Amino acid sequence: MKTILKLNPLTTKKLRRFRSIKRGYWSFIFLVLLYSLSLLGELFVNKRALIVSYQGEFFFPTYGEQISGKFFGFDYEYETNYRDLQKKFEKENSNDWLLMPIVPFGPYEMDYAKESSTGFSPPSFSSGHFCGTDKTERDVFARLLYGFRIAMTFSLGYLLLTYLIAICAGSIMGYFGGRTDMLGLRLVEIWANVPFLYMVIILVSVMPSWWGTGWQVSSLLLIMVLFSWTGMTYYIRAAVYKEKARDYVSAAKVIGASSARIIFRHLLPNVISTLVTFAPFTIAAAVSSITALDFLGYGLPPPTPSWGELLKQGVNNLRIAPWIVISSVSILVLTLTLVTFVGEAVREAFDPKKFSTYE
Amino acid sequence: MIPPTLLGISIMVFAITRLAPGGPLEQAMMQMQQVSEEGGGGRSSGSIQALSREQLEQMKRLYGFDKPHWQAYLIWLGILPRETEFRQIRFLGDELELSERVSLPSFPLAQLDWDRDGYLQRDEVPPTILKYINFNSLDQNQDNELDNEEINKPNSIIQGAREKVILKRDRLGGVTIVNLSELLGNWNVRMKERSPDQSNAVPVAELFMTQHEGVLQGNFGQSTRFGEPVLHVIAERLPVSTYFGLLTFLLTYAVCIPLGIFKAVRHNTLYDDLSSILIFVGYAVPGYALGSLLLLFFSVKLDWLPMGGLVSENHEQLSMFEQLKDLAEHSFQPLCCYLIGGFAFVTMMMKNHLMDNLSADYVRTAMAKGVSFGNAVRKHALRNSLVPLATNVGHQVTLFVTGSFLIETIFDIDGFGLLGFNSVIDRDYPVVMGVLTLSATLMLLGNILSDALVAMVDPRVRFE
Repeated sequence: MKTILKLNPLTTKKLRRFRSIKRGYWSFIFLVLLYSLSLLGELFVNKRALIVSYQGEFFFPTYGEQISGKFFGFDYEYETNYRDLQKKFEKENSNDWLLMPIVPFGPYEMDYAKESSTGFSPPSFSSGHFCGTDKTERDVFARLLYGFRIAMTFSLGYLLLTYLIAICAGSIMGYFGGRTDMLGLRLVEIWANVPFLYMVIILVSVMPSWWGTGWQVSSLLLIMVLFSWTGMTYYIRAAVYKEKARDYVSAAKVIGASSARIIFRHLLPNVISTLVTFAPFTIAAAVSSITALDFLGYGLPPPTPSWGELLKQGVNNLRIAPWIVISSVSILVLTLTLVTFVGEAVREAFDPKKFSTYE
Repeated sequence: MIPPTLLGISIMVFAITRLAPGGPLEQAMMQMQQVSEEGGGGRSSGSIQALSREQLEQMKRLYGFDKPHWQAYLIWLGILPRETEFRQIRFLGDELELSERVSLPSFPLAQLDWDRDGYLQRDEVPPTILKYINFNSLDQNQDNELDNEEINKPNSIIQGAREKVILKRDRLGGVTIVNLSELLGNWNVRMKERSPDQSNAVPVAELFMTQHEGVLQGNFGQSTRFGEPVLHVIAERLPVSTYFGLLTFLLTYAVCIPLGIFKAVRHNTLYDDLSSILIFVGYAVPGYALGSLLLLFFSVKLDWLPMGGLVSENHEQLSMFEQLKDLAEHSFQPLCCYLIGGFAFVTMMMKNHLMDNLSADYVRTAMAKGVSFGNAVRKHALRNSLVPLATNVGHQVTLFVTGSFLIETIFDIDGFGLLGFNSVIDRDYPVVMGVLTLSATLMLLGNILSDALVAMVDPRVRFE
């Protein structure tokens, strides 16, 4: 990686070209910003207070340990409800105060503050639910934000893993060629035609339910990668084929470099540019397939916040809760559009076409 | 290279359907246990063991799990024969001879025309069969021969005959069919293997016919969910998907080619940028997400369009014009969802290739010789730019039939995609295999079609 980042003038040129394509560049900035914000999501959307000043002492519950309700003078042992605490402080008119995040709700938390909550509260500023709530009174905005974080992280992991497998398979096939290539191509072709969604559904539905959420998510990721790495292999194979014929590879061979060294030190850095152009589209594909899987109920295990699950709720309750569909489709479309813009810009930057036009 | 690839795909999927737990067998067992528990009316937990060994065996046979995996696959393919008309016969005590009535397979007499000369002489008909037909009445011209016309008459079909099978057991435990020569078809008999813990049980003979009925014979088996032949189940749902597939295909090309040309000619103008943004947004939106949004606005908020399905309930009673209107109202939203994804790809392909060609030397030459810009585009560049689009046509063939089950789910359209999805969920594996074989075949055929189209459109490409 170092070699590409440091001294490749071609790469800097491509980067400059990417920056000059305004639509893609700003989409990229915006996406990165959005993702970093979502990584710090606890500071903006959370049921825990940011700062509590209680009897002259400061507490920072956001990333700290749980503080029992008893500590602040409530009559329960479980974690403090900071929204109640805020009201209590106001009522007692004491010197104590606390600062809540902008949206004072967590993604898993069911807000049963109101007397008669039947689920599906419409959006309102007074209640603090900017996008309303879902059927179990969970805040839609909080779930969208954390859903974004999970979907993007998931997609980045997916990108990394698929590329890893595709690079290995593609460079082996491209570099050794001949019979290895023939056999490999056939196998990849067969594997590519095994229907992705069916296999994922079959395998996900037999996943034991006693596995923890972390296990389930990572095995879902592995299953998805397992059945979709093939697409990139063709491109890498073709790129390696092209590069292999060049003189520097023969030179390396003559010096006596091993196959592994030639592949990893010499060929890969030159093949990487192919990968970069496809990366945004891979991300977009990953986001939409994880959303589709969640929509069908075969994705992330509940109660993980996810767009697909929200969309499903929304479609089932179009008449009662239209805000769910509107907000989840909007964020989905926004994200995917931004990613697509980035992808289009990257592609243009890496493969510029100069057209002559007739005026 | 189609057959090996198809074979590989089917082996892969077959293996996964067999090896994945929670298959049809487990599901059926769970259902039966629930039924027996409900029927048992709160009996003790012993009723969980309601499934006897025999029932289990019966179900295994029903779902084809009684054979090793590789055999089951070959049976599915039609290379190994399938066992049909299966029945068990118990030899109680010292019984050495038993008989069982079986129905003989019905088949047209024409099948007996073994020598393929078009004639069936009286002595060519086996005596077992001669019993069931009235040769003289079939033989209208009384020449002791049945010719093609006579053989194919409706009453030359043997059906419903029942015969007695006589089974004989020797002291060592072997069983044979005594009167095999009098029976039609391929009846087989074999001793059932006894597991060690029931070595004292009565010997059981299994009687069955063998018949090659697999994919090679055009038989995809029976759907376990519908109880109908898989091919029938699939054929019922194909027209809906084909309808949407064809419309999508036609509309995509009808819109994208002119749009691509327009964008290429007006490159870097405001129209170009605006339409690019629209197209990319369309590309980014998943069809089903758009579908749920459309449903919300057009069907729920405005109540203009129906919620789903392909036609209204009273479709039959409407007049011709109203029927068309009804269909159009139901198709509008799903069609939008199908269309939106393909627009970007075809339009940009058209635009980019046209621009490539426009900056090529031969167009410049044409312009220099005084050809007008319009003619240069239409007559020179456009034709060459359409070549790469031809490659794409073949890939669209899959779309003709398969459709997208996400869109079908949202709009409640009972098409091919939804069938595949539901069969996976219900573990209706014969249908899963059938759906997959069909779509994989179509996809590979589509690739060939693409190549053929390119060779047709582009005179430089030739198959050697």
